Amino acid sequence: MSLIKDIKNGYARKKLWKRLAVLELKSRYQGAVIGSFWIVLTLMLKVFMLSLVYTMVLDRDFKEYVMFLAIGVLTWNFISAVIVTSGTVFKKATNFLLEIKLPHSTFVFQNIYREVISLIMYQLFAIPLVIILKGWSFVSIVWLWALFGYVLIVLNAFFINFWLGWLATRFRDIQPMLSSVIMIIFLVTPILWPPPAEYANSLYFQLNPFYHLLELIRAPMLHNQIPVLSFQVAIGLLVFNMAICFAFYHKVKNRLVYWL
Amino acid sequence: MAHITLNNVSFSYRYFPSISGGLLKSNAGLKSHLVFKDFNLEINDGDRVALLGVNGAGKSTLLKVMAGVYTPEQGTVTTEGKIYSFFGRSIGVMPQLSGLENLEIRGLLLNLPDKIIQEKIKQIIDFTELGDAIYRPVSTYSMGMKTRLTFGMLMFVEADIMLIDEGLGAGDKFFLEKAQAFIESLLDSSKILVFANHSMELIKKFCNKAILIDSGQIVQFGAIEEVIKRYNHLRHIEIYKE
Repeated sequence: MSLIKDIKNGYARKKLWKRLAVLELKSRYQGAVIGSFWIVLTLMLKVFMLSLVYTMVLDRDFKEYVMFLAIGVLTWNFISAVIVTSGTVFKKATNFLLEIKLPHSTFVFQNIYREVISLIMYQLFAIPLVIILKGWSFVSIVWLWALFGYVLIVLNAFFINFWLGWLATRFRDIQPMLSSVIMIIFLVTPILWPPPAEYANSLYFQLNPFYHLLELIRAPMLHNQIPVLSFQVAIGLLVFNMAICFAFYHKVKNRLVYWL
Repeated sequence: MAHITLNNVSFSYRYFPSISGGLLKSNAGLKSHLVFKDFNLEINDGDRVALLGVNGAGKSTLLKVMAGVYTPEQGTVTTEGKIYSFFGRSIGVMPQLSGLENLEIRGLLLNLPDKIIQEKIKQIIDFTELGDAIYRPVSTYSMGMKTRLTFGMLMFVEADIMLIDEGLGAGDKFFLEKAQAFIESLLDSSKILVFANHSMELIKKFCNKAILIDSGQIVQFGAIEEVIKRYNHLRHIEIYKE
């Protein structure tokens, strides 16, 4: 079975992975009064508190900064969640995989779908926030590029999930490494702070793929610009991630179950 | 015409070593443990086979190889007919979910259409007599209730080949009779059963043949009474040795 067939067969089990993803989200907030709304509330609290402090620290305009932060943090939340959870994507499915032969992609779909739901819930907070602060006139057709940017991010997430999932199942050092590395990336990538104007073109930022992924969303939504270079980087990343998956699938497909 | 053929199958499973040893001692690396070497087996229509063997003889691994979960590194496994493998692992996969949700997921896992899932779930709730408990999280279930739910999960299918690992316990006496009647009816609709269980009572009731496995080798494959005799003899020797 090739990877394409795996993905096709996995997609066909959409009722299963959709259900599992929703139940997984709900189970995190079992018994909580406001339930899954916590997903949005945590983001709101985070953005509000950070904005209060960082507008002071960075000496920024509150309105501009809060938008920059909200869009950046929510996109980052998606990216980091996908990377951290890819370490457990197959491990969590042990009971299923050891009982019935299922396409690997079933659980990748589950993982990505769950995070996409969170992403959409985040937007329910972020888009109205931008519109309230800036008014309807701020909304433009260029925002569609941000939508395309999300499509690229989600596609990248899908394939990264595959190979990081395999890698972390086989090599148990990956999972603990992921959680610590992701924290470092968060601190060195312009998420909390906009890159200083005089360094914006420095290699330090330009070589950071995460910076480009965030720019896919921030540039169109906040500055009405189409970040051409960032789109090229994102497409390049996608090709890279797909290549890894295609190269390793036939080696991994039968062995994954032994590593669980 | 359902059948299972294993031809020169060699299989070893891999595992990460135990976490014993000092805090700073590495436990990296996959270990490999050879379970089967040049294993041959043929199971045909109408065979209801019990797998016998001491713990660790390879019964569960054999079932997983037949189910296609494990792919052998050498040899071929060919099966004909729709397989339903039930290794009792799904129950309590998500103990925070209700019995009903666990049943729904089971149905989805088997790739059944919604309508059939809903119909079957109704039957299962009636059969298991779980009543309102079906809406409670499985984590609140007693052992007996879990057994009922496990039996219920078996009701989903009409497969040609059923592979059942231990995990089918007895439950309370009253339910046991009902469950046995149900399994008998289930067996009429499926053509092959491969059953690993430690309860001689269940095995004698459901199986007409048996395979005795020891250290990954078939010691004997034949009519159930003879194999059980041999198995008891083998067990007796082991106890005697100790």
